[in-house]
Order: sequence, then C-alpha cells, then structure tokens
Amino acid sequence: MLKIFNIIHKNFKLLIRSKTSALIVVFGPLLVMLLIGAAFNTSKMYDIKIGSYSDAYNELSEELITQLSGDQFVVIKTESREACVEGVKSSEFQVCMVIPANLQVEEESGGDIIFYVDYSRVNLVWIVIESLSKQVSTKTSEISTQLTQKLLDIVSKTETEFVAKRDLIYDLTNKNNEVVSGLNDLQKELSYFNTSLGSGGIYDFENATAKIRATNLTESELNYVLDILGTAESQISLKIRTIEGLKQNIDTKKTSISSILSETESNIGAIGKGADEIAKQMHGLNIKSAEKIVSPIKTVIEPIDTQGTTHLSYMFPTLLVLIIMFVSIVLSAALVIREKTSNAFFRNFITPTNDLLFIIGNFLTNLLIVATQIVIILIVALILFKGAIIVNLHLTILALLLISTVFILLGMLIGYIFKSEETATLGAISIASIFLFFSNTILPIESLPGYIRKLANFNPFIIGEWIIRKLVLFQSGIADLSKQILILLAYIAVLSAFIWVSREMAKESHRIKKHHITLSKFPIDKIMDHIKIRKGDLKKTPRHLRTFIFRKESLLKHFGKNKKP
Amino acid sequence: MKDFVVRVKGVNKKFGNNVILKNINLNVKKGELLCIVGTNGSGKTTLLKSIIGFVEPEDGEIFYNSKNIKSIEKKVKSDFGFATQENAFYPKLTVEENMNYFGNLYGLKKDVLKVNIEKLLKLVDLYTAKDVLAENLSMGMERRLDIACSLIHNPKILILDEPTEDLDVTLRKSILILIKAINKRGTTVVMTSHLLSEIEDVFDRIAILNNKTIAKTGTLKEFRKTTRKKSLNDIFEVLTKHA
Repeated sequence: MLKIFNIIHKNFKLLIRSKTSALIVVFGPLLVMLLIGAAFNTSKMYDIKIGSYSDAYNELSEELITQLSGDQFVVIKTESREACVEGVKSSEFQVCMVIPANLQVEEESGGDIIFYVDYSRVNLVWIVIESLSKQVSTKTSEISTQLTQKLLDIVSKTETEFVAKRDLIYDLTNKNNEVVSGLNDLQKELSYFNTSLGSGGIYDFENATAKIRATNLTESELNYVLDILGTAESQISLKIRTIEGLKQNIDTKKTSISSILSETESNIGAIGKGADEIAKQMHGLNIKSAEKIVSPIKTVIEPIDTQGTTHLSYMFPTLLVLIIMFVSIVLSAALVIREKTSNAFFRNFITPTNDLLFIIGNFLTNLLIVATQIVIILIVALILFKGAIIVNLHLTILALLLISTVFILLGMLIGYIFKSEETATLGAISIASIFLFFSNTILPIESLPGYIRKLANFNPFIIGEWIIRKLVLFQSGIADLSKQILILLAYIAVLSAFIWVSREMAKESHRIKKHHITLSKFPIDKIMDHIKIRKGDLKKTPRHLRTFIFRKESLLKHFGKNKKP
Repeated sequence: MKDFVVRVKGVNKKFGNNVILKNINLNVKKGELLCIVGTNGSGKTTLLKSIIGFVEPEDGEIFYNSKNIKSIEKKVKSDFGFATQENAFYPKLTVEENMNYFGNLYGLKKDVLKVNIEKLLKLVDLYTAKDVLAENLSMGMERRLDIACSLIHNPKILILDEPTEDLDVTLRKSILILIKAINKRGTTVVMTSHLLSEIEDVFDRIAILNNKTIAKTGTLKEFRKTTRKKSLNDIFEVLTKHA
C-alpha cells in the first residue's frame, strides 16, 4: 500500500513539474469543446426506427405509415403507448409516433399525431423531426389540396348559381318598381277626389232637415229645402261616379300588381332554391376552420419523460463522458509514455516490486485526477439539475468509475504501445477523436452505414454516454444497464491483459541495449567536430551522441590512436 | 568456491541472430572490486544485466551465493544495486525525493530510509543539494545521485555500468574515489569501463571482455607478469590481439 502511495505521489510530482502534462490537463477539456463546436452537420440518415402506436388504425393512419416507411424510416407498430415511449428511452426507436384512434381529417377535434423524441440525442432529434415533418407534410399537403379543391368547387358552384339568378333579381327589382309606380298613381288619383258637398255643405243639409221636421213650412222654406236636396242629390251622384271611376282604376292596378307579385314570388322561389342548393353543398363541407384546411394533420413534438428540461441537461451525459474520455486517454497515455521513456523506468524493474503495482499505481494516479474532474462536474450538475442526479448517485458514480477505468486503461495501453511522448499524445487524441466521430455527438450513428453502425455500438464512448443518459435522465435501474456494464467489464479485462503484455514488451526493449552506434557507421570528422564542442554546450547535445563522443574521445585517448579506428 | 559471491557459468546470449555473449565464465569474489573492460558493443551491459537477472541467457547459469538467480529473484533484486550508463532517476524529482521513491520501492522502512538517505547523500557529497531538482544537477552530481539511488537499499553487490562515462577527468577521478569508498564499506563492486589508464590502481581484479567472451581475468599484477607490459592499455592490446 505504501508503495502504491509512493508511486502515486511520485507521479503527481512528475505531472505538476512537467509543462506538457499541465497543458494537457488544462487544455484537454478546451479541445473537447472545440471538437463539439465542429459537430452537427449531416443530411442523410439510415434506418431511423419509428415506433408507432394507435388505439385504432384506419385507412388514413395506415396510409401515413406507408408514406413514412420509405428507405429512410422503418415504422414498427408497438403494443402500447408506454412500450412505444420506452422504446425511445432505450434507443430501440429514434421516435415514437402516437396516432389518434381512427385518424380523421374532417373532424374538427380529430386529435394530433404526437411524436415522442429524446431530446438528449439532440443532433438526431432535429434531423428526425425535420425528416418526419417533411414526410407528414407531403401527406398533409395532399389532404389540404383535396379540402381546398372541395371548397373551391362550392365557391364556383355558388358563383354559377348567382350568375344564373342575377336576371331574376334584376327582374324582381323592375317589378317591384312597377308596383311602387302603380301604387303611386292610385295615391295620386285618390288625392284628387274631393269629399266636400258644395258651398253650404253638410250645414245646409242639416238646416233643411230641421226645417222639414218643423212641418209648418212656408213655400219659400220648402223650395229652399228642395233646392238644397236637389243640390245634394247632384253632388252625391257626382261623387258616386267619381268613386266608381276610382274603383275601376284600383281594380285595374290590383290586377297588374297581383300579376307582378305572382311573378316576383316565382322568382324568389327560384332564388331560394339556388340558395338551398349552395347551403346544402356548404353543409357537406365539414371543415370550416381555416387552420384545419391549411394543416389537416397536425403533429405535436413531445419530449419523452425525462428529468432534463434544458439543453444543458440533455447534453450533460455526453459532455461528462466526453471530458472523461479525453482527459483519461490523453493523460494516462502521457503519464505512461513519460514513465516508459524515462531512464528511471529501468530502475523500477530492478527493484523488488511487482510489476502489477506499477500498473495499479499509474492507473490510480489517473483515476484520482479524473475523479477530481468528475466531482467538480457533478457538483456543478447537482446545482444545475437540483438533485436530479442524486436519485441515482451511487449507480452514477459506479458507472463513471467503470467508464473512467476503460478510458484510463486504453490511454495506458496507448502509452505502452507508442514509443515517444509526441506520438503517444497524438495517438491518444486520435483514438479519442475516432470514438467521438463514431458516436452520436458529432454525427448520429444512424448516419453511418449498417456494418459500421454495428461496430460503433461497441464504441466505449457510446456505451458510457448511453449508461449516463439512462441514469441521469431516465433514472434507470442497474437491470436496464446490465448488458452495457458487462461490455465495459469485458473491455477492462481485455485492456488489462493487453497492458500487461505491452508492459512486458516495453520491459523487453530495455533488455536490448539501445543507441548502439558503431564507429564504422559514423563519420570520424563529425565526431571530432563534436568533441571540440565546449563542455557547457555538450550538455545540450543529445544524450546518446554525448555518450558516443565521450566514448570516442576516451578510446582515442587511451588506445593512443589519432586516426580512424 | 565459497569466496565467490557471483558465479557466471557458460552463459550465452543472443538478440535475434546477433550473438552478444559467448560462453561467459566469470566469478566475483565477496567484497572485491572487479572491473570488466571491453570495447563498445562487446556485451558488457548485457553481461551485467544478466548477472542481476534482468536479461535471461539462452544457455548457462548464474549463481548468487551458490543459488541460481532464477530461483531467488527477489533476493537478487534486494541484494544487488545497479547503476546504468544513463542516469536512472526522475529529473522532475529532487535528489531526496528520488532516493525516497526508490527506497520505498525496495520496501525500506521510513526511519531506515531517512538514515540511509542522509548517509548516502553525505557519502556522494550531495547532502547540500538534496532539495535540488535532479534535472538541475551537474553531470558529475547526476552520476553521484544515480550511484546513491543504486545504494539506497544497502546492496551487498553494486553493479556499475560505465559509471565514469560522459564525465571529465576530474569527475571520473572523484567517482572512482567514491566507488573505492563504497567498496571499503564492504560492498562488492562490479563495474564496466573502457577508461583503462584510470582504473589501473583502483580495482582488485580485471576481466577482459573481448569478442563476446571473457578473454582473461586476473589482477593487474598477473596481467603484467603474463604480458610483460606495464600499462593496462598495452596489456589490453596484447590480450585482445591474441584472442
């Protein structure tokens, strides 16, 4: 235990005192962010699986499914809505489509098609939504065109009907004018009719009547009465004749107006019939909402039930595993290669210390550094997500430990395989970049051809991201993750074995003496030029050359030969 | 036989098709100062690495205290100290940190380690530089630190692979004085070198490695008698010529 602590202690000091390591630790995460920035650029997708559920499929919903089942999408019907949504959570489907029972476009309250998507796969989601919307909108446009055509047919028919009935309406107006004119004439004639009965009028007639009642009339008085009566008789006769004339006129006008009104009634009946016909057609058109005509099938995008509500929370699992991957691989590769290329590496071999302790020591050093970063990230996450992670904290920590272990071991293996720090760092970044490119972060793996996609599913970055996503966003249990955890454990076992072998190979290379430059292969003039280098400068020359110069100097001096050996 | 702490018997070693060592027979007496001399590429380093069990020979056996080193690997690691041609310590650790680290790998207890470090730093004259980063040491100091790291666990046998390599005359002398002082403490020292004139008066015995095999082993006195030459340079020339 003390030895492990000793190794870790030493490793930390070496790291802190080396500028390159410090740079990797500081700039590693920045590099990761840079690579994320280069993401999100794709168009074609392969085998996007859509889970579909409807309480009752009908002709329209089946048509829609057929429309979607092209070369890009595979539609799989599920047993229930829950199974469909769970399928998205477990990445079995990329989208879950819930179609209303007996999908009808004619019904105003026909319901919307709901697409459940996993926003944590942010780059895939928008591409799929876009593709789906395109497919659905094709069907929607088709239906919308049909509906609009229907509406236009009615409008056209209405127009024809109105054009046809326009003359009748004009005729109605004329007849109406004629009636009005006839009535005006009657009114005029009646106004000319005088109802007064001469100069004395009704007073004279009443006076004459009173005088008759007095009986003892004089002759003059009788004549007077007779005159009055005679006048009254002639006036009444005149009035009667006038009234008869008027009556005759009114009868004539009445006949004329009756005829007009009869015609008008017939015209109004014809117009009413046309209106009834239009109304009947209008009634046949069930959709009266402009919105429904424009967009007969409405889709709603719903996120699957996750704890995350912000883009950051959806991105968190990816970000976390990305940082772990880059820091672990690059850092552990750098640490191992530095140890391996150090002259002190040999001294470690000749001490009575088990090789395994060095491997464990190096591993734990890296793990402590990665763990520190994880703790910082988790603290930030806890503040941001307000306890969403705590639900599965113990499992999350266990998963992070496993994921870190895989990447650290991989970095260590790279360190043991490569021969210089530069190449090891480059190798580490390259491997990590490959993992990144063949994951869902930059391009969705659905954009990869089938056989590459199958391989990419074993990408430890994808597995790690998937586990953290399930734990943090969906609060999954360990049972759901068992397959992925087993794959990670298999990685750990294989990588450990490879590390052991590669360390033994590195040890073997120390058994063979390096930098063996034979004198015959090296120009003596060049050697002599080097020997002339001042002692202060000599320290700056490469070690193997320095050794060689001194050897040559010593040989020349002690064997007393000032010429080429 | 009992005097021989290390016995190398008929050792052959090849790397691929290159024969590095051919039928090596060499005995190291307890408490002696043995120098293996030979030209570059003669197999000195491979021989030393074989003695400590790091390189496994194809044929032959190597014994430590009459036991095959293969069967007592841990004991060999504990009883042998090895200083390579190139300094084997961490440049980013201080002198004391390096010694502390390697001491821990040898399983030394804290108090023992503290005493050892202090003694060794004084012995190699690095006590005042104990807090200096190894990368900031001079070449002579680096070499002394490397030897100190090899001695941290008080090995019974110290193996030094060309310890005076890269050093100027003054530093070479100081290292040889240091080696002598280490030997005087009771440590058996096996060293390789090709700086023949400087080792003449330092070592008890000399083994001449030529053509991948030990050409001759003996004291300087014996060599002088056999070859009738005075300087080691001349002796080496005569012995390797005949070989």
